[in-house]
Amino acid sequence: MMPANWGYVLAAYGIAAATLFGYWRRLVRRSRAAGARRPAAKARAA
Amino acid sequence: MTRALGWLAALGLLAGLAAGFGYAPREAVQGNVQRIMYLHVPSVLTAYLAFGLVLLGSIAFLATRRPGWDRLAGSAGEIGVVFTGLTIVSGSIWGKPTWGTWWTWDARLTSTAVLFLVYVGYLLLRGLIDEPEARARYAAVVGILGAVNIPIVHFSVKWWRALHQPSTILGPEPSPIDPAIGLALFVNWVTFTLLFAYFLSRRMEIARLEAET
Repeated sequence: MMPANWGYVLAAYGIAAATLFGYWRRLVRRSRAAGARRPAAKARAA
Repeated sequence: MTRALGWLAALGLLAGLAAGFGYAPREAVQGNVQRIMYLHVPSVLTAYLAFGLVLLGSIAFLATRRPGWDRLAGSAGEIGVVFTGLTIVSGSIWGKPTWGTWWTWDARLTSTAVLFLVYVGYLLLRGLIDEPEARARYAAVVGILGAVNIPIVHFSVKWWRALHQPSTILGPEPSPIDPAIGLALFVNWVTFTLLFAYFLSRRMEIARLEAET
């Protein structure tokens, strides 16, 4: 049996959590920015 | 719909952690470090799904020239790169205590690195071309050619001598995995698929809004 190696497990899950959370935050920010630009673009078109 | 997917994915992540750390037993040989599998395998399966959708969107765009297919391909490509990155990093962390090295130029690892770089290139190409029609056309060609790598990654452990273990799921033989470990893996795979669907829905909506402005 190998040693517990919890440090490796925590590192893998920690990096995954940070990556997925960071990507989600990026999507939220881009979504807000795109939504804010949209009325201006519509007004220009009108 | 998108919000519901997000909540389902969040609940799924909790269930996946409970399954991977609470329900699934400690693996007999590797011990607790094997629990990285509940992150590593769903990540690569999600990446396969993402790049499969890049292929579908690319072919459909070239056939129909409808921009929605290009948005599907571009969005899935971006998310696929995120999950391929997670696959490589989690595999490397798993490799250190089990193989004694963070990285080796094994067929599976090398082909996965190539897959990652091909789709990073795909995203760079999309970022370099401003004209939407030309961007979609060139990206579709790369998206179709890039998909050739998916079976190479998956079957690399069969085709070449590899340090990486052969597939224990999605293989021709019945899976030798313990049922409790298999169930925990299944829960995490479903969760990652839900998370992918949520990310894809949000990313496609952003692409649609950006196309309108």
